[in-house]
Amino acid sequence: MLEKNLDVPVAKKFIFDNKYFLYDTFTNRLFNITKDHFFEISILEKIGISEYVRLPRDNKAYRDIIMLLHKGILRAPFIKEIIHPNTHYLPYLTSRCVNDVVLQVTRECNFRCRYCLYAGNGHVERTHEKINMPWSVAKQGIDFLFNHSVDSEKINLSFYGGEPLLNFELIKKSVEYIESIYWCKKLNYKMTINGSLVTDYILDFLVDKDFEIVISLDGNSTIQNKHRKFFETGNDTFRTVFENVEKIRCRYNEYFYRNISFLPVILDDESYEEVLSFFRMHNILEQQIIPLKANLNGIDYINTGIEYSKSFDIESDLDGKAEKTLENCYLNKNRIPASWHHNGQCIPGIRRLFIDINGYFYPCEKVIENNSLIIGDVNRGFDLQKIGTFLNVGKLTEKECKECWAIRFCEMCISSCLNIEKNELSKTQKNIECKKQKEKALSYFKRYIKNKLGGKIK
Amino acid sequence: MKLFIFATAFATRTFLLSIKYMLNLKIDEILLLRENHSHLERNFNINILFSHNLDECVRKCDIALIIKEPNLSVKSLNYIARNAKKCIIIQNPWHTEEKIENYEDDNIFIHTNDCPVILNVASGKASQQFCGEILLNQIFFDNKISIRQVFSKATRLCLQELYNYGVLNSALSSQFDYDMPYNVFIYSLNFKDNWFQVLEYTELLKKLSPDYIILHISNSDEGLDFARNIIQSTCALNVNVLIRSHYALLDKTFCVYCDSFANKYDYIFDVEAHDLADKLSFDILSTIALPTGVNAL
Repeated sequence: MLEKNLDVPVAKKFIFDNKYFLYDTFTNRLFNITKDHFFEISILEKIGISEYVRLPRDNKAYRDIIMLLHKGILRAPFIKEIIHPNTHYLPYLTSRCVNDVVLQVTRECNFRCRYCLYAGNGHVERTHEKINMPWSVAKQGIDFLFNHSVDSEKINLSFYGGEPLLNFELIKKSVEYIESIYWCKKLNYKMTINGSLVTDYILDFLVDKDFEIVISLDGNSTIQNKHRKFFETGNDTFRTVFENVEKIRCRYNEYFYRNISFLPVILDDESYEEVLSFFRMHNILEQQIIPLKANLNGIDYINTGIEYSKSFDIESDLDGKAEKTLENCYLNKNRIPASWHHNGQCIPGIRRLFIDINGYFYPCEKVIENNSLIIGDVNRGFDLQKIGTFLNVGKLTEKECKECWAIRFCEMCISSCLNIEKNELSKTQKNIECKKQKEKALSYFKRYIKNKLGGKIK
Repeated sequence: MKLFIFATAFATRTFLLSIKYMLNLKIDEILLLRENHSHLERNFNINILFSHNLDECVRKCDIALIIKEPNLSVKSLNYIARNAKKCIIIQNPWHTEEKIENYEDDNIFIHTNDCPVILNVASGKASQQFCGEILLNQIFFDNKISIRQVFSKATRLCLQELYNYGVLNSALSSQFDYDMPYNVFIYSLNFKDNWFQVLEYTELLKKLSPDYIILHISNSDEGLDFARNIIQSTCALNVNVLIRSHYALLDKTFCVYCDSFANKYDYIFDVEAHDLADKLSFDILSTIALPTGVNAL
């Protein structure tokens, strides 16, 4: 098989609404082109720039494409090396800028939820189990944060489960301890709970420490009870949770509207409007609601990339946040430097550091608790080599990334690149996600064309 | 006198580089909280005592200097204000990049004197331009040359607050008196996080026609070559010196201190070098001074 020509332009031509378009990656611009241009670009893609410019042709479309080439549009791959710009700074970032730690205080949960990955058979992810984080591990985790945060301006400490309130005493002890060592930096506490265990004692503490609380409440009793059941009895959960919600609002009204938000996880067969109307009906403000789709980004769902590589649909799958992100990518017309890396991969351990009950470090609580994703532990500290590898996950597909027209729009992190069977980051797995990223970018272009240009397209 | 500084790591380190000259206080020891400082950090030619305990710092210090911003613990801040023998509270001028901009007030820019002009430019807070501005004041003060210095906005806000507390040294305080005669004019500009802003100042740069140009850079500066080229072409003068800070601003979020430098450039001075004042003094004075017996009219 012939090698793909090295000077094929990094660009995407496509047809939408019976019209022809070109997206040029280097200039980050979309063009409305003619059918003739479209076919000329097909030839250009087939034979490469150096051969194309020598063709003995003199028709208008050919001359136009030559003109575009002279204008710096339709460039051959311009990225020479896939390397994350923060790679050089990793030793400093990891020793001075840790700022957001999530402690997995327990793996136990008193609920069993329909879409929760931990409620599964343990094939992909761990299951719920009655194990709590020991105080020694929590203390080591907080000490690690303290010793690696001199340049952090604020500190976030979050608690994660299972259901974190099942180990409330550890949460309380951790908060008391961190407040005894930090004097200068502002401390912020966060937690996602199922809302069933909020006693007066716990509530007073959470309010006193100004916790930001997210309550997993899916909507009205029908929806909530369909998804979330008490583990031991199998009983419905809505009534217990909603009574606690009302208790928080009644006792601490200002705190309720400032610090409490709700996370309804919406499945494909449910109506977002129905869920939203429930919250509206109970005077819960729209800004307090963080709806998540269960299929891709739900907090209790971890994307394995195996079963869920369905195509993006222009009308429904780009939510407001995703569209805003893509729009920002499109509005950024800065030139891509010769050494570059796609977006999406945070600085592991810095943007967030998840510490499991045994003291192992993971890039965040949303990745699978799989050995291959461990980036250190409370005893040995960070594994810098692994963090460097994760930060530069684009190196898995270096050649493809250099030639990828969607690289400016790519938002991919290691959680999408893990082969669970082989327990390693995998190029094949990453390529599955690459396809989705390209589809997402293309959806954005089509929506952009539809919304912004409307009937003006000739 | 023992001074306790209650501020973020960045604000504290930036102050420490200039504090001995900047304040009219006889400082013997600086007290700092361990949470913001690593023992491995370079010393500042000042005795520094690191403490794990706020109460200890408050009890031991003669003056507490709080560089206030929303990320500081309000509880601790109130405790210091209540219990310290003396307390100076100023706003952190580098907390948001919004404050790091330039004055557009024509009254501040009244330069009609035909004297050497030094242009001192930077981009964003991580370049620690503040240290360079204070250092320039010190160099001319030590050489007994009168100057008129237009500070960047962040620096000016900070100095004004210290001036109001009566702790700013006289050479810096005198810069708030616009009627003082001067023999050298120093103008500082900061382009926030975007060197492309230089383009908006081309008229001003032409008008200034500087004799010496200093560029302050962070450890993560992008677009520096562009800035250097545009400044050079606008001012028809090469940038004389680059002063680099150890701070890198990454992902617009993390302002991290680095021991080593990411890129190599010519004419680089290290903002923390102990001999920076000597080097810069020699370089500036030998560039802008006229030979003995030759006087500008």
